[in-house]
Amino acid sequence: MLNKFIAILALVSLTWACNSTKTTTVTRTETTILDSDDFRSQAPGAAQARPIELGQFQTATLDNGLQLIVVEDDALPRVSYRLFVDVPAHLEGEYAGTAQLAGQMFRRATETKTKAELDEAIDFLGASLSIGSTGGTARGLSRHKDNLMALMAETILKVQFPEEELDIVRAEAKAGLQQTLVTPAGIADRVQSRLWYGEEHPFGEMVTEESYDAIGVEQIQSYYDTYFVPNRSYLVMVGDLTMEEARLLANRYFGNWTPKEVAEPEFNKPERPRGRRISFVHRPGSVQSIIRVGHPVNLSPGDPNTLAARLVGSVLGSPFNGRLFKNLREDKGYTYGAYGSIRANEEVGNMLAYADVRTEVTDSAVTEFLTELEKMTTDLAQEDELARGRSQINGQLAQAMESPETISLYALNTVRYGLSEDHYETLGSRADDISTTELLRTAQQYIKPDELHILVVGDKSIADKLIPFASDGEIHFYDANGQVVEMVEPEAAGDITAEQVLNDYVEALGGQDKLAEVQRLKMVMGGNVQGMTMVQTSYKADNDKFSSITEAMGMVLSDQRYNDGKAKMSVQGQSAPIDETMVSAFREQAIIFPEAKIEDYSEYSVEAGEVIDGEATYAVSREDDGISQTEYYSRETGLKLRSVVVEMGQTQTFDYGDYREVDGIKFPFSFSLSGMAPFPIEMEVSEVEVNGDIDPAVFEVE
Amino acid sequence: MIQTISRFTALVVLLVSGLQLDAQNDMSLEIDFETYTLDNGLQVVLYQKNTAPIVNVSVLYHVGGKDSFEGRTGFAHFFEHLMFEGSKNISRGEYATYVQDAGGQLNAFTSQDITYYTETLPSNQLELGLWLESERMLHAEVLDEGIETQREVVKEERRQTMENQPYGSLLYEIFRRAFSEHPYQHPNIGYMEDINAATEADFQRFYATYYVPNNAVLAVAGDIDVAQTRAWIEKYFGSIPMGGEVPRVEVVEPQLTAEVIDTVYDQVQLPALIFAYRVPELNHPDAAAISVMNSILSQGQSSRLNRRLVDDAQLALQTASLSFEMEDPGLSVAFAVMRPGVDLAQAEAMMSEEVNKMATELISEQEYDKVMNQIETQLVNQVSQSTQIAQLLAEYQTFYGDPSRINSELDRYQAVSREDIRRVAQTYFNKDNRVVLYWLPEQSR
Repeated sequence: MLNKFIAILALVSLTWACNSTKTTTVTRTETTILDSDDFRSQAPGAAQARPIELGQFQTATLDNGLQLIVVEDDALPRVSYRLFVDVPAHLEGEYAGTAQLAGQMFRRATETKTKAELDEAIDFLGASLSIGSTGGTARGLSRHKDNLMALMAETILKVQFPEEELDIVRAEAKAGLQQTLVTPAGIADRVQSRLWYGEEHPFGEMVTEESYDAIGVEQIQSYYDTYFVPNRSYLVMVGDLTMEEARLLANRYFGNWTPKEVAEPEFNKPERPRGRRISFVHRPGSVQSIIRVGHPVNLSPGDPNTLAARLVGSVLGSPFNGRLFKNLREDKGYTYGAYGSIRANEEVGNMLAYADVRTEVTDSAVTEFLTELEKMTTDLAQEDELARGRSQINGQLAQAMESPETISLYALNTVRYGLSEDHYETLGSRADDISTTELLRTAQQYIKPDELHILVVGDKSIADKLIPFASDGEIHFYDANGQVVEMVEPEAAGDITAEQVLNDYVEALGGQDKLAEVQRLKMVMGGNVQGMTMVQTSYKADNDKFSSITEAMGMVLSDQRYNDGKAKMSVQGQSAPIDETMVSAFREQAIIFPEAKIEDYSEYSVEAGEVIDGEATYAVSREDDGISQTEYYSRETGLKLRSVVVEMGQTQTFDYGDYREVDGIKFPFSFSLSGMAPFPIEMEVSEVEVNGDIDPAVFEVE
Repeated sequence: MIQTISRFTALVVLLVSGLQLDAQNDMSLEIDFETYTLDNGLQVVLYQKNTAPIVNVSVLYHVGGKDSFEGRTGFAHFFEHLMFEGSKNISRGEYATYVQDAGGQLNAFTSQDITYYTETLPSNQLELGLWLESERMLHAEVLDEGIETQREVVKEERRQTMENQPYGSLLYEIFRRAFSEHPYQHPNIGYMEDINAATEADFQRFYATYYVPNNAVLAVAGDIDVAQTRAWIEKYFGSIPMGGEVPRVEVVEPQLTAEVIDTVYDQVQLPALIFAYRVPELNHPDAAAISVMNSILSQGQSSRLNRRLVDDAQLALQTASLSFEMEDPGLSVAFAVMRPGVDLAQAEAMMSEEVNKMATELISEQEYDKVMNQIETQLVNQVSQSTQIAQLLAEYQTFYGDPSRINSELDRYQAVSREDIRRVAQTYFNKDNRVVLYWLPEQSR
């Protein structure tokens, strides 16, 4: 959560930066006319391009196998170090997430420094230092080149993994996972890697709450001991220092690092599906569908085809000018952006085309994706499309030359993947040599429009429309963890009415008479929200009084009251203004069992609801002033299992469970709420008191 | 003649193992630029650096949010959007296409003081960049349909960045309480009704008043041949007619006389606490000391506010403080994003204590060395790319009439003493000179 706030604060700046890609129709207006301005009427052409000369790098290997890559660049008095530890792809099994947590554990303690002392030492140099699961980077002024290297080495080689720091790191990771699981794109990422690569492959492994909980200091230590070895690591040093200085510093601070053999497990290359396979993750009430179309490809960074494959990706899916963008956004208006690419990777690469589209055009969008992918493999590209791809590559290279850090990354890739020394320098001229014929041949090799995963995360109401695309005629449903879900098709609702369903619910709770006896109700519930314990105590009386107090860390977060037409609210001790809509919302809240008080059933409609945790349901819906509310009642028990509220494109889902009887009336003892906050909120009821004494002061509204 | 850049004293390298390589010698960083003015008043700054085959072409117009016409707040920013609509020779949407097809990037921004347009291109496309900017300055074309479209885009941007963004209206809420006379009190992006009210006549007037060569700086930085560049600049910009005298905001904001305390409700999960102190304009002699003071408060994880509120008391998740260096007197803002449920009064007392300590105690020499290291690092990093150098040169030319400040910035900061820091803390960072905002979650409202 913190990251999000940092991002938000970064946005709070005095200027409004604008990308200028928002022009539209212009009609002509008066202009200043100048004489003999013919030279202005055409864009000037390009002059002769200067050849790209990337900075030279030098290499050396320390006795312990650490490979040193140095780029001397004295343009500015600064240095930048990068240690890259080449951790081989491996399975983590029940400890999935170990590498991630290990990465977060650096910079928290060393043999001689606490976190505060590390912070002070780094800040004192005016430097930055960050370390993760495969090494890290340090940057600072060149006059501190020695101290900075010493600090970096200490952080990595003398690292300590205290239990209490692991608890903090684990809690943050779990909060992050919770957030991922309620974010459509986060769900899509997880399920996509499971589908593309399979659970037998490291790329298809998935972290869960349980796997985070399973990880202890022992696993972190073992990850570090196993993989942090000099003989698989690269130390890249760039900036205002000489090769001799670099060698000296590397030896002094990393020379004693002990080499060790690291096993490199082999994995079967993930394969494309046979035929087109449709996978679906159902998110009730989604107004958008996330579409991911693609398959794994066998393409490693050193492969001679990578450049042509990159150009194919650029023609297909680059922003603004790519075919997917032009088709799905500019022509059809289905989406804000549609993109695609072919990516190389040492283990396994991928071909991917993707967009987020409005729910109702999901199947139309899939049609367009398939059309564009097909076309890439059947028709020659236009020369100008290819030219655009080439100039993007050239432009990126030219800009890279100004950044020593990008040059160092290129140097690292060159060494790591065994690329030819002039690999990057010749990228532009090699791109110029790629013809549209070669582009077509490459597209045919890496895009297989008939052997695709088509993954959709969205509301399953549109799932049936995707069946015609499926080679096996089926939609495969998954949950957010990539586990197969049995989608039991609900039986038709038959001729039951909304009134019957609602009456059955009242009956299931205890019956109209029993509910009518309830004059006063007290309920206490609590939960852990993002690491903070929250307790909410609410009271209702006479169907016209209501009070709800939410507390955390001994403080009152919010206090809401309603008493016979008057309402009051305060947030963190500050009173908040109240308007008419809120008063009426509070009035409804004051009613103890609203379903027992319905007078006009004609506003409600009923249909077959989805199966929730194995229970068939009826869905009862009502539209009110732009807010649509659907309640799901179990066909078997009559109890309410879920509410879905859609308001202004936002979907909130409440789940009810663990019904228990108190004084002959059933109450749900567990609540789960998602869609309101960027993380799910789970609450458990600890106390329900019916018709007990309530201090009238809690309803007092000044 | 322009020479290739940035020389600094060579290091005395001690190759004897065991000796520290860190040296304490001074850095002297020299950006060697050239500046001149065309007959029509256009100021030109050229900087040659041939390390990479790229070039940045930028035009700074000395007009920003504060110069918007009466009843037309946000006009400068709205206008920036329209400046991508096209020109006599560039049809709709083609600004971006030209630049992208050439393998370059373009961008623009509007602040309360300036509007800035910038393209970074492969250096063999320099002439294209100059042509694109000359089209914008000479005969941009905008009419009703473009205005209507961009009006909607700007309104959408306002919704996204200011209204629906947590803390998105933070600056506006501070500035409107700190200023009552000066146009800094208005949101840079404008009020909805003003965006709605803008007409074509406003645009014609704005263009004729402010988008004239005598109100602009053209900066070209990167892999250039100076003689050729000068010739092209003359060709594309020399015949653009000079405009009239450009009006300037002359309102002087009276001093705050008492602390302003207020509460804002917003769609946020976490409460925040904001202090905003009135500080002088950017070319005031105290500006550097104020900036150093802010670094001590909040730069880095070991900074005072972070250590006190985040690490020790665990009241806040994040703290920041910065002074908005503005052409007219502006604000220095400190804020902290709190953990849920924190007592803001307690946090306020703690944050006030940290600020007050700056006025009562001298910072230690160790802390002084730290902040100077941090500032020097920043100054070095901000001149690493041609794009950044072009912007600095253009801004220094505009605000100080002196681009050579790019070479004296470090001296300016190093001239700040520990006593200066205490003095500015006493002068500006006191209660009667500030706005305090409690930023609270709207919850259930």
